[in-house]
Amino acid sequence: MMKKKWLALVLTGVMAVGTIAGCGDSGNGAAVTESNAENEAAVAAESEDAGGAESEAAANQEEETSYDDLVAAAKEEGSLVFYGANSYLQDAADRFAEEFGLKVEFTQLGETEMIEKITSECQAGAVNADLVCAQDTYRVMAELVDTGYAMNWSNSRIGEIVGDDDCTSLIWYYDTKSFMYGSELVGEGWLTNLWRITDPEYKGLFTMKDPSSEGVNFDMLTMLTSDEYASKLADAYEAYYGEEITLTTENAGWEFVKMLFENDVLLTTSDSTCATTIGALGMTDTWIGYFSTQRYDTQEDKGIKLSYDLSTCSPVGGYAYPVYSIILNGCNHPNAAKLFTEWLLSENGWAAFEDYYGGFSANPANVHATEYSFDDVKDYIVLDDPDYLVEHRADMEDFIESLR
Amino acid sequence: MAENSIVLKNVTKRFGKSVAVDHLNLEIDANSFVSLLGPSGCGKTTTLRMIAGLETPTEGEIWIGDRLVFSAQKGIDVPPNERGVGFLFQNYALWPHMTVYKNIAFGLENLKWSKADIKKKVDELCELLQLSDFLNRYPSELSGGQQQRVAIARTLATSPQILLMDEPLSNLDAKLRLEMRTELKRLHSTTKATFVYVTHDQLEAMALSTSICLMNTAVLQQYAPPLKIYAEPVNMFVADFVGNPAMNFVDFSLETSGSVPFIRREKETFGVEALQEKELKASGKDVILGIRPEDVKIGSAGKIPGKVISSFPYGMETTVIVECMGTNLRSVVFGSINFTEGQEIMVDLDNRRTCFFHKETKELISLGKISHIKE
Amino acid sequence: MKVQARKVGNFLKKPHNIILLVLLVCLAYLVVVPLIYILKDTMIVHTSEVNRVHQEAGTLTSYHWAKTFSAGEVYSTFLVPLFNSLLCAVFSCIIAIVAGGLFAWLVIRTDMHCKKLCSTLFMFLYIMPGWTLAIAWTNFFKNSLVGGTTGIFEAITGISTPNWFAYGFFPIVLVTGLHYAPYAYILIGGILKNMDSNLEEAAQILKTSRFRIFIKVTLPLVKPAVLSTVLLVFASGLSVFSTAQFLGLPVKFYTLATKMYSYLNGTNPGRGYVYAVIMLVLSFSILYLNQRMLGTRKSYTTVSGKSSNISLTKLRGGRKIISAAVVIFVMAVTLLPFLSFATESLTQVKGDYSLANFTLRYWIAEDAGIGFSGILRNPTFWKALKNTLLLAVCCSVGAGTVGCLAGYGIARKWGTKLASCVNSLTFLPYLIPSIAISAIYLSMFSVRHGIIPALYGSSAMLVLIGVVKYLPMASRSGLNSMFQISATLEESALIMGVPWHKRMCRILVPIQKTSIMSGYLLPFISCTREMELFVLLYTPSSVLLTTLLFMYNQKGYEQFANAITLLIVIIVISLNTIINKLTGASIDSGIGG
Repeated sequence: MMKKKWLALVLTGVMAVGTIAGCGDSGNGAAVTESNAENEAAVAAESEDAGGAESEAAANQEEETSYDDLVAAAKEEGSLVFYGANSYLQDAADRFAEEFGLKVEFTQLGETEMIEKITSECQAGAVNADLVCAQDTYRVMAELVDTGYAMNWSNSRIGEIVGDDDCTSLIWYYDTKSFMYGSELVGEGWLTNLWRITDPEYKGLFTMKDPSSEGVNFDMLTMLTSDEYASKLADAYEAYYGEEITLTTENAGWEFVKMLFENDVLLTTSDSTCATTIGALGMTDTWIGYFSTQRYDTQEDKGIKLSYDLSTCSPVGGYAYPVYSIILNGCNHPNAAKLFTEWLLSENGWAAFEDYYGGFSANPANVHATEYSFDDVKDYIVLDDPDYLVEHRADMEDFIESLR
Repeated sequence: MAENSIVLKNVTKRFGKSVAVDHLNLEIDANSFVSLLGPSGCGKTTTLRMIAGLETPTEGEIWIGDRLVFSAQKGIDVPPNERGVGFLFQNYALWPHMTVYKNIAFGLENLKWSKADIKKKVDELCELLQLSDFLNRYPSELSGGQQQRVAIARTLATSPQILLMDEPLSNLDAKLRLEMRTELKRLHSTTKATFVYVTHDQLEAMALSTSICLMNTAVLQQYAPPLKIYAEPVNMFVADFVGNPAMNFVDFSLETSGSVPFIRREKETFGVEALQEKELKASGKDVILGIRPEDVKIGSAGKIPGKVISSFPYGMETTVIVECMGTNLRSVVFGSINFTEGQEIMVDLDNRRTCFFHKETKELISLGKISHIKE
Repeated sequence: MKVQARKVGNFLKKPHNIILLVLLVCLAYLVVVPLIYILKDTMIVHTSEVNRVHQEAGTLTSYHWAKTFSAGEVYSTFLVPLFNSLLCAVFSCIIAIVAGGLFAWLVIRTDMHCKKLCSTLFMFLYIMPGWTLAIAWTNFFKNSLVGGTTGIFEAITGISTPNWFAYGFFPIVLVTGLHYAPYAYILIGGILKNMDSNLEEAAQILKTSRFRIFIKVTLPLVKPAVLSTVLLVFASGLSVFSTAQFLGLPVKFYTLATKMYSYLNGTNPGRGYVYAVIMLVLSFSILYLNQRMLGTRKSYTTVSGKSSNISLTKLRGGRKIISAAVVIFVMAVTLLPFLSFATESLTQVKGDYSLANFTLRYWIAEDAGIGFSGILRNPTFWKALKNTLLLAVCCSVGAGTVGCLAGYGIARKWGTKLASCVNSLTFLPYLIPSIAISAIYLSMFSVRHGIIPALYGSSAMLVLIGVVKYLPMASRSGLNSMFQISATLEESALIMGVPWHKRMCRILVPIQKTSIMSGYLLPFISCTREMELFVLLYTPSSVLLTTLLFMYNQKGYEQFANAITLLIVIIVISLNTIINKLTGASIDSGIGG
């Protein structure tokens, strides 16, 4: 009980810090957690009617559910089922379960399986999961949002943290992937231009996970072909090769992808393989790899030496892919899912990720394991544009198929 | 009709395109011992299995007693266990994981007999079949003959009124087979059941049965008592199949111009006294004469010259192959007589039971006698 | 009418007819319907393809087929992978048959030493998941092409392995071929064991040369076994994924299966299903050819009945050398992978084999880093182990029982259309790629269809798909064991009026218990190491060892992954040994008899 109180207090604090105005609601939420069991039961009983009458659409127009009511309604539902790709979510699930006394079922799945499972469930109307933590923007947009499987809802408390009330495709944290290299031979600050990857001199010395089994890699490559990044790439090309780029494709982005593949990219089956490939000691060549930034943190464990610097690599040093928290229409525990989403943004919700290197909560007030903040590097990494991805991802997939 | 008679009406069994049994009509009298005889693949086992209900006929009806147990037309198919038959399998089909006692008792247990009754019955059967010493052995610890007796005991345990046997003696050695034949004959007289017995061994069929049903390529050839089959085969197949050594077949040309028909071959002429003279006369110029080896007499007394090709003395009798009239004839002589190869002898074919077969259809035309006519 | 009704009644009075009918209906639903679904999936727009086809999801389209065979892509994305797949399948078959056949001959027909040891170890090749061999291969023969630390071979000898040797076609074919060589060993060995050597000796007396004897006598006799092996290995070789992915990616060697996976995983699943259909068509044609060549032979193994007349070929002077070579070979392909998993699970830093680098923390430490405790202390591991064993037991009981019944029904009605129909149906699941069948089942069973309940989310779903997927093995085994018992053993009880269940339980099953147990063992082992089949359908409460392995692999916790791989292999092998000791059953007797 003592621990619970403490957590609740911290939560209150976080809410207060994270939001400048409207902290009354979160304060109330804390109050409920602090209050005794009898009170809780009473609130739960009260909200039974309200919870039943409340439809998802109504929630939009009518007065927003207070945090207290949400907690009570979630407790009424009793459990939460969610899918995700990140193993850290298990920890988060356990914390959530403990904090609110709910039964939480988490299934860790690969991105494709996860989306496949969800869409099958939704198509059949047998929605098993309440919420899904998906990360492949294209698939989230095309297969969950555009199809209407994702629940339309909003929450002003979340809006105050992330700047947008609409929680249909809520991003609750950003995971990052970076271009890294083995630093044993060359030390820090070696990779200054991305075009080095396409340089025939370094042929066969770039590795990444096969995009066919990692959707976010497709997303990143697709984003490189957008006007913004393509023009940046064109500039960087000139800087690296000392001449203007001659295009055989639509723009510098496509050209980059083409040259990357023609320069014998080594595709692997996992990011870890990439990390150990480039970071191993005693090699005669310096490899470049593109993989989850989190692997930087595992160097010591794996006996490898890696280096990267987002800000010095021209034009970009990495990629931030949003991790969404999507509630599904017609799910069994919508309130628990909403509460979970709100909670994920809180300090307690982020606690499981505090030591997750390269991950950035959408709530800037949270503590991060990375030595820089998301804002620090936003300009040096590729960011998603959902509309662009929806339009062009398929082209990129086909393009890469033709390059293999 | 007695309870344990069997009637097959127009029974046909087809496996895909091949016909195993073709329009078989057969009446098996109660308490008889009928052998289904024929070369392998003639449909005899299939017939037996159809009677038992283990195989479903494609067409026809089967009656057991006055009960219709199968009718393709009426859609009746009484399951095997309700037909009141016992079945003895060629390979005995003893259950390898059960002792002799258990093998015999299993069927009775299933009929909900009391333990004491079962024991009594098993003991009685074991007494009858001399198995009492082996009750706790497993089939693999028994000799072939013992296994056979266990199988019989097991089949008899439920006292079936009809006993169907599928080549039960074929896996035994010659001596044991003889013993078991006696045993079967004894059982037939003690149990008063109808025995239907499948075999490819004509000697066994002759020795055991009251009637033989001889089949070939799915078709019934002849159904008659053994001696009638032996003496009056309806066609050359039957004549050839029954009897050991087999019947001699000799081509003759027939002359029917005179009042008495003659048959001729090489330089020899025989007068014919046929039972069905009209049919014989109508049959055309060529006939095949069938004559049993024991009716081919050899020695110094005969009228036709011959030469010994080889001789097989069996002790009690001697089979001699004689070259005569440009063909080889088998002859059986009683006793051990030493013939030397190449020895010139005389052959006598007169005044014997002979068969006349149609050259084309191989059917029997007539029975009759022949007598040699000196030129 | 009445007559018809009576005839139906008569038909249904026979249990084997009921079994076959029920199986026909169930398999039609569980096997044929999914096939239709797969075909349909090649012709509709999936949700992820809306932005590609620019039509609404669910509408009919020829996009997938047209794109597959479009002039620009057909060569690189279809013909080359097709060629690679066929090459893999064919050469895997050859390797499996040559290695397995040679091994069978050495063990059964010669006076080689250490037969028992070799035979047991050789089975490990099949017991171990195929991809573990691929991992072991790279552990040993990795070269600088893929960066990182080099393989053990190069570390020791200093010789850098050429690319063709380390990756791509050669190791894929070798690994797949060796993985399925035990099939060939079991099937061909079964025949060699039963084959009267008089048959060969007769030819020898006629002064036929050894080679001619082999070609004219031995080969035709083992032909049915070779054909069965070809069927099994070809179908597997065609759809082998993990191995091809693992060894093929570094040298851009793609097969139909890897293409299929990448399309199914990407945003063009329709095209993935096109590849699945093409692979199915290839497998079906092999199945058809196989059945044409086998004819309607009743049994694969019995050539001249039981025969104890086996004369052992004397290896004479070569005996010691050949024995040693075989032992070394078998050890190398079975124990070295073990060793490599064990080493990898014990080393802190990959590729550093100094003593200081060895640690037990990934096995037993309270905190083995990244928030996980060592495998043996990890509750998730124990839960997964429990689930895996439970699922494997359920699947094997299901598949084994159904397979045994199917074998019974098919054997009793052998030669009839109904029996051959059910016989083919029970084999079909072997040919359908796991990932395709699980995706189809997911959509088939997510909601209630008439009397078929919504199974999705329940463990029943996992059991169901496991039973269907492993039915081919179990029914083969069941059919074999039923063929081995003379039907008269049952008929003699039938005539006495012993009811069917008693005939099964008291007569058939006790007599063939070893062989039937083997029919349970195969699904059990396969289930223990199955991942692709379950990964779409499992729920958190049913986490499995393989899904756990998948997770550790994904996240790069290689020590954990290696430890689990090692444990899976050890569990499977020790269970196989225990069951073998207790019941006499073993997988070797499962397929071949």
